[in-house]
Amino acid sequence: MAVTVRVPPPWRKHLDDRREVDVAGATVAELLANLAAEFPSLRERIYDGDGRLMSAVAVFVNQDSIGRLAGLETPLADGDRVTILMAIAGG
Amino acid sequence: MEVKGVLHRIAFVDLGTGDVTYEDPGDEVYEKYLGGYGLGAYILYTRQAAGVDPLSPAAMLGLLTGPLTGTDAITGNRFIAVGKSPKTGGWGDANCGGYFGPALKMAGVDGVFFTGRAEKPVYALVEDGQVSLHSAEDHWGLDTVDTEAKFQEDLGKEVRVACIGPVGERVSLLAAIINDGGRAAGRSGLGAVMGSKRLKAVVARPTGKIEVADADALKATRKRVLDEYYKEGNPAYELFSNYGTCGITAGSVRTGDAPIRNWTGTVHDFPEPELISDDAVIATQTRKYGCWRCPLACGGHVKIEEGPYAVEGHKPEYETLAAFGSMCLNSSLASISKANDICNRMGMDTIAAGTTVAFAIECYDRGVITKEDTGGLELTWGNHEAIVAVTEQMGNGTGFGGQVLGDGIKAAVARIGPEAEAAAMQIAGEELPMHDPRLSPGIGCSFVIDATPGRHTQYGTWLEEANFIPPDLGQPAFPGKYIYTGKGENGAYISNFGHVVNAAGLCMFGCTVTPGTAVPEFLTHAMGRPYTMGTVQEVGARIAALRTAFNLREGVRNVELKLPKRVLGIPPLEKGDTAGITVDNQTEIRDYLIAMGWDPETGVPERETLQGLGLDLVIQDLHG
Repeated sequence: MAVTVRVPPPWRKHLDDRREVDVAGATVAELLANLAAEFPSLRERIYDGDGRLMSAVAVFVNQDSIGRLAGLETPLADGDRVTILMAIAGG
Repeated sequence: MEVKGVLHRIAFVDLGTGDVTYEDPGDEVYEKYLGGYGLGAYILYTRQAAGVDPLSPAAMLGLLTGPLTGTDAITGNRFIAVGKSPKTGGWGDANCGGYFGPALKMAGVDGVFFTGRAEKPVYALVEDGQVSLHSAEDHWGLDTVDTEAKFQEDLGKEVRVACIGPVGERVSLLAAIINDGGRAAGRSGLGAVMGSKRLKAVVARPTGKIEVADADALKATRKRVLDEYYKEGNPAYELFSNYGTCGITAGSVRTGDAPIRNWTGTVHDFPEPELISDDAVIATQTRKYGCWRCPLACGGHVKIEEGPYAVEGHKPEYETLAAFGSMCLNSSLASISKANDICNRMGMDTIAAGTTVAFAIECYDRGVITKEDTGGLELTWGNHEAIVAVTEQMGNGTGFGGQVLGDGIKAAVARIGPEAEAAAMQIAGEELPMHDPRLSPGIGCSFVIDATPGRHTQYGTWLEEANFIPPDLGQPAFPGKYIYTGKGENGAYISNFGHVVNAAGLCMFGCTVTPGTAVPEFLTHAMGRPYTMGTVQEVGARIAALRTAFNLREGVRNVELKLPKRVLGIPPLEKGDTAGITVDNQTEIRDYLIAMGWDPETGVPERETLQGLGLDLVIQDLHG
């Protein structure tokens, strides 16, 4: 099962100048792991030194934050759309 | 050795008589207050009588640089306008980048203050350390872009211009001071103060150099910071150098930082924020724009060639995209770019203008105003044609936009009636900016307790909550976003640091990417005085107390100010990432006041605090 993932603007250069890719994963955790495996330069942008999701990275499934769902164990289904955001405010 | 990095020269201009005098504030004043709004607060507090009408000739308006403006310190390109705010009745300031700040300093003054009112429109020319006044009757009525172009045509391409547009000429409270065709000192209504003096522009011819104490050491610190900037994977640098603030727009809507539908909505009401964000905006960008010597270069110029909103101008910033976008449920990027250009050209604060439009749309939606009131404009959510049309009216001073909305939300409520109050997202007369305390509770504290209420550019605990904290800052522990107790020390430390950033002439935005320890290093090498993070804290605390003392002397008690209930989640949102959140603002404010050494009930800095900061000048006023 592949889910469409949209990444933050600065990550475009790590995805061959794309903002969206299809990645497999039954849960958000699996999807992120697969994304990092396919695009290794994203690993240090997704995970901190302890292998946890970076605090400035927010993940949404469709319109909802995974914090409001089941976190990294949120299940994914065909047609879901995952959006990764840099949770940086300002401007 | 006298303090370096500054010119020891402040100009005082009486626009009524044409007299110009110059003073050196002296080493001790520069050491204690630096420049920017620190020095500005000192001068206004000591020279302007309490209770003055901010739009009267007796009121002072200052444009100031800082000791790092125009130096090798990274982002040392800011100037700041100061005065009593005609919106809040208290302390007013507005910070701005571009090229004007360094040009003003290189023209030979650290700052220039204006009093009086010119009989006819004038401009002030600053060159070789001298200020001269000239007729601006040929410039009066021009927009800010044409004004700048005319000055550069008449006086030379090298001159830099800070000016008002027609909105400021009308003394509208939405007025901004604009430089470089679209960089705005927008908040506090200081463009109206400038207009009240019939001062069209300050024009600076940069010919001088700024001497610093240790140029080699300053360059070395600059290189160290640049190495941090360019380090692979620095997310904030990557985001802001490639996109600028437009890069956060969609994320801010999705996380709940950007208010939606005048603070009542969620991303479910505005499901495609990408239409007004990052790649969509960059697709219209023709070239990047950076402030003077800034390695981030977060600005840009955009061009939309076809359609009803064909426009060429500055790239809309996040605040503008949210104010005219998510706040109004408007996903037409072209219309937002057009509204942005109208604001820049007419000299109008985009935050105040956009949020005032959102206020009007909610009033229309609720039936508080009708099509008859608006002169036929259908002010419905997302109606971009009406949004642009009413913004044009606000700029021109015509129709419903000019006559009812033209002085912002507070004045509009007075004109429409008390039934409009529920839609009024302002505090103390200042329209709220585009950051939501329900996501970052600390900014709710800042909105209330800073001397400029409703200000998004003040540092505080929200920087922790928004992943926007400068590296190596050394701040006390942060207990957690929705933990309301125990944040006082953290908030005081971060906000004091921010006051120094603003007083030094640095960019608060760029400094969130800069290691905190670089700021005292920059000051030390520029000024020739040994600044540490400890003395930075002391200077910041002094500036905070003095700005607040200005408010208290004017009768503005920040502790008594109230945010609109919906901004604090009363009632809470039912959907979105911040669903169910109600913010306890009072606990954080109280802890902050205690940490600052201010009375937690009244917000008055304690006598001992003032004595410790060397602020004896305000003790008599606050404590008798």
